[in-house]
Formats: sequence, structure tokens, C-alpha cells
Amino acid sequence: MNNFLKTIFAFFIGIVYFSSCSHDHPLPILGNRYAVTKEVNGQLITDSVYQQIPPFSLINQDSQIITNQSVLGKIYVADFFFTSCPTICPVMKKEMIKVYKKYKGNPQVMMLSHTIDPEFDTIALLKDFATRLGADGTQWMFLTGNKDSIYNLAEQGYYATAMPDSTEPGGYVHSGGFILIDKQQRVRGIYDGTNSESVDELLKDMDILLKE
Amino acid sequence: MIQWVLGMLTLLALGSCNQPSGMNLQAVKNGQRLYDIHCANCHQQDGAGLAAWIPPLAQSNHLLAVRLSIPCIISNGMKQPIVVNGVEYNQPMPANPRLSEKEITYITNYVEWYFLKNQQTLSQDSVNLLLRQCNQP
Repeated sequence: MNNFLKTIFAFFIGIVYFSSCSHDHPLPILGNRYAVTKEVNGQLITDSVYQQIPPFSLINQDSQIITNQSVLGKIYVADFFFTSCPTICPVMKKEMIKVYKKYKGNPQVMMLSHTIDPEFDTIALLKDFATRLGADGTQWMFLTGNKDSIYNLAEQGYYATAMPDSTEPGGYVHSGGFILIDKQQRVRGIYDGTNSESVDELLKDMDILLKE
Repeated sequence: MIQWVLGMLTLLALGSCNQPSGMNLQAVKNGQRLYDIHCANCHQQDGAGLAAWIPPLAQSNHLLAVRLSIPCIISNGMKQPIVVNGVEYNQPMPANPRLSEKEITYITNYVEWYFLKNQQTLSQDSVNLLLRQCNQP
């Protein structure tokens, strides 16, 4: 009996230990960084500068122009999709609905879904898509714009793949990543938007990021 | 020893309750594998669909109504808007020209079994007949 109690005690200590360390870890800052040395009060100070999301200018489902300014001071999740996609997109959108529902109404959180098929995905179609998914406000944006700038933004800003590929069903290849961006527009995590457990990790990390 | 044997028999009996009766188990497994590859991306593994964008197959009044067209829909896709459980859907469903008649039969039977709770197997000949009807000009 004594041994039994000891085992139970050790078990609970273990639970407390593991749950505490999995909740408090700071999120890494991903991407390239470089050192900048500058003179402050006659002294040379070296500081790390982290890569940020490059300047972008896109249009959302309500025909508003959306730029880096629109998300400044907020954390957001970015992904890439197209409405006629027969492969991974519906699962990604099901998972993004989960993110949206959790943070709905939180002014510090946004979601940016970029179409990689802007010729087909007109603003009207994106609006219909948003409404059908239940995204009724401006917190979850469905963005379109110049095709090349979306592809460049995906690759250079969000480490995502997005390009036409006639051998793929639907005509495009793209990664299923959800990319988490902080208030300084730095990449803080990349998650598999087709995997429910990976998106659960994202939800936990968003809570951590909100406390920073 | 007798207890162990009885226990195993009970487990077997319980396990067999979950297996489809009247339908070939291997056929259901083949259908499930094909469904997961060709249908589950959009309709989801559990048939829930996606919000008001992709219609559900589970608990769908429409699926029951178009029952005899299931092989044709799998093969040719759909273009016209439909109303499922009171919600209008108008996203076109792409055709699946690469699926053979045999594969369409497996998927049809899996959809019948899993979503319509039908235990009867549709034969290859029946499915071929249904497919010929929809492919007529």
C-alpha cells in the first residue's frame, strides 16, 4: 500500500513537472538574423536584427487594401489555399475554423488566408467563401492580389511553397502550413494545417505569444 | 483456463458486432481506402463536409434522395447547386475520370454502408448499369 501511494505521488509530481515545462517555453524566432553594430553614447553596441515579413499590399474579401500596417501590433496566422482546391485545402480550412472560433472577437488576433489562384478566386468568390465558412467580420481575411507578389510573399516571407503545377489535381502545388507571426511581424512557428494535433500546438503557442 | 477461453470468446463476439454483416468485409475495407484517397479531402473521413462550402454525406437527406445516382456522381462529379439539410451548396464537385468501374463499386458500397447504413452489397453489374444510364447523352 505504501509503495502504491508512493507511485501515485510520483505520478502526480511527474504530471505537474511536465505540464509546467510544456506551458512556459518561449517561442523561437525563426528566419534569418544578422548582427548590427551601432554607436550609442560613444559605445559600440551589437544587436540582433530578425527577419520580418516583407512589405505586402493585398485586397481582402471586402475589397479593402490590406498591408503590413493592418496587422501591426497583432499576432496572426497565415496560410495559402485556393477555393477550388480538391486536395488539402478543405482540411486546412476546417482546422482554421477551429483557430477562428477560439479567438473570435479577440482584437489582438487575426488570420490571413491567401489565395494562390487569384484569377479564379475573385473578391466576390472570396466573400462567398468567407461567409460560407462562417467568417463574418474582418478578423479572418481572405486575401488576393498580384499572383507573383503572393508567391514571393509565400516563399520569402512565410517559408511556404505556392506555385502552379499542371500535374497536381486542381493545378497548383502548395504547402499546408499555418505560419504564426508575432506583433513585430516575425515568424514564430510553422504548423501542419492538415494535422489536428499540430494545430492544437499552434493554439497553445498563440496563448504563449499573446502573453509576450 | 476455461475463464481465459470464455473471455476470448466474449471479446471475439463483441468485436464481430462492429463488423458489417451481409457485406464483404474486404470490400468495405477496399471502399474505405478508396474513399480516404478520393473523397475524404473534401467530404472528410467522417462525412461532415466543410461548413456551408462542401456538403456533408453523414446524416444527409440529399444522399438518400440521389441514392441511385451515387456511382454517376462519383464518376462525373456535380455542377448544379444542391440543398442539403436546408443549406444550399454550389461548389462544383470535380469528376474522377481515373476511377475504374470496380473502384466506383467499392466506393459506392462503402458510402451506402457507412453513411446510409445499408448492409446490402450492390453488385458490379448493378453499378455498371447505373453508370451506363448516366453516361447516355
